[in-house]
Amino acid sequence: MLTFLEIQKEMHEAILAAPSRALLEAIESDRIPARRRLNVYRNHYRKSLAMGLADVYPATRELLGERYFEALAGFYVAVRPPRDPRICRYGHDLPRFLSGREELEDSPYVTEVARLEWAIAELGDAPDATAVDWNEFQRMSEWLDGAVRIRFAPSVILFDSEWPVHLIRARTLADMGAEGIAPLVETPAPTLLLLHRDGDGDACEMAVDEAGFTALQLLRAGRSLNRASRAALARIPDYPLSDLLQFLLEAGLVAGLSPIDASQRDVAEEK
Amino acid sequence: MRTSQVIPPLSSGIGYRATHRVAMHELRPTVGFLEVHAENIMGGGRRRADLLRLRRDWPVSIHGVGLSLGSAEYPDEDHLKRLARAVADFHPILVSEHLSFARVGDDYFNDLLPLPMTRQAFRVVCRNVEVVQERLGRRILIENPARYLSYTCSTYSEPEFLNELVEHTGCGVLLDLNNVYVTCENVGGDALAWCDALNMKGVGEIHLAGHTRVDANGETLLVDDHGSAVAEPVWRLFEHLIGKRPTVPVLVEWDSRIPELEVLVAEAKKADERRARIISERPRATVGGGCLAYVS
Repeated sequence: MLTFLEIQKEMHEAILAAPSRALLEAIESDRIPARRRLNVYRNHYRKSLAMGLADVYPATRELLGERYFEALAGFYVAVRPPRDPRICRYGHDLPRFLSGREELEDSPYVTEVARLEWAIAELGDAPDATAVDWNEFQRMSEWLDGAVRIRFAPSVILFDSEWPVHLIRARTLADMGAEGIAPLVETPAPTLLLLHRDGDGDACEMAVDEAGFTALQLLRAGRSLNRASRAALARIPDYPLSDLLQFLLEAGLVAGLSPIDASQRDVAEEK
Repeated sequence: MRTSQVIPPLSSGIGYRATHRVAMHELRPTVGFLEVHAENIMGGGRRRADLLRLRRDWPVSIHGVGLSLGSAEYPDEDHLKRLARAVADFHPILVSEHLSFARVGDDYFNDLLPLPMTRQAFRVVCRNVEVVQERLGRRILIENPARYLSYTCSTYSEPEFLNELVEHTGCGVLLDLNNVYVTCENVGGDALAWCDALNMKGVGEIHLAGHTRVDANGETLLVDDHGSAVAEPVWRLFEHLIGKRPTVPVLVEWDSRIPELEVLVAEAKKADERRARIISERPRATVGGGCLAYVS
């Protein structure tokens, strides 16, 4: 007779692979065979996770075609059990899973669209944060003469790709078909995006130029505002970083400011 | 200017789904409370903002599916933290989870897997319920899941297990009558006898929902898919029991093939009417508003 712990391990095996004889014998099966009873759980596991993936990756699904996506999702579900109880957090490495598929070598943008869709799912689920307002930012940055670190809201994601993935995704979801995305997938076009949530909490993206993106990356890495500003100016003289900062602040995407004391300035403003 | 929502005592609640977001604000139905899945409100953004708005007008209950109270492992610490945060944010009138397991080692199955009803399972569930109640600083309700199988090693019936769990941990029972019916049809047993074996004093909420009948090879299984109206045999169980706990919060779930909000609200009204009729036929029953006599 199986113990409590053994039953849990055997159920794990039955759902991911096949039931053992010991488990089948541990299940009452007078009217309906034990195997069929177990199938209810196994089918639910597979179907609900595949549906979860379809919800997170709608454009990827469209690009791959419904049947192919379902087949891939089924395979993925069988080999990648969730590591988080929330179904909305399932599928984080599907893009990597896709990138290894030989049949997708001619369509590298598909993996990139999947990567964007996971980023969108992540930011949608990120916790809220109290926003810093423009006046507070101005006071502190003037007072500290730019020796300040900026902490973005958890829902801010900096996303870069070799493909215009946001446009490919938008056209795919707008049901524009293969012709609609054809001009976008012929040759790579590097794309830098600031992903965030709008005032209603919905995901949205903003294309950012290289100077702004570099500054945002440095700020995210804990470098000072001065350092970020210098990096942007090195790429584009007279770069208006303040416009980008104003947007971040007005959109509630800055969650914290912290002064950099003299002992840390060398690191924070490192060349 | 926002008008306050006056909810009549003993109004049944409904499971809130994001597809009804706009309709909730337009129709402002007089339902007793809204139940949300804990796992859907642990992040920020639109879902959280929506629920914060909704809870100005309706009490909220939080119903979890991810704690895996029947797992040999302790409840996931990160998940428990997220749940505690949601409870602190939304001040739910009820917090509930399931008598099942979903986790084995590091893997989660996104399902309510059936426990063997044994002493060892009982000890594990007690331990995990106590961990959760201590962390949340409140009593939680434990729901009987729909079962598609039972184990030969079980030594408790499900109601016996729940009765002892209530006694041992101080938790309550979320009695899902659709699950009682589905379980008894699938694994054998008399649903009325199941209900009568449960100590109704421990019941803190009743769930009602629909199920689907699946036939294959001449065998029938009922599947708890929450995708249709409450079935007549489940209403009969409700009428059989509600007189014993007339003020208990009642909730109608509808999670797949989700209908228009009006349909779901009408289903909740059916529960109200049936409860009112049973109460009126039992003039001695004491009826208080309890947590459902809620005015925002």
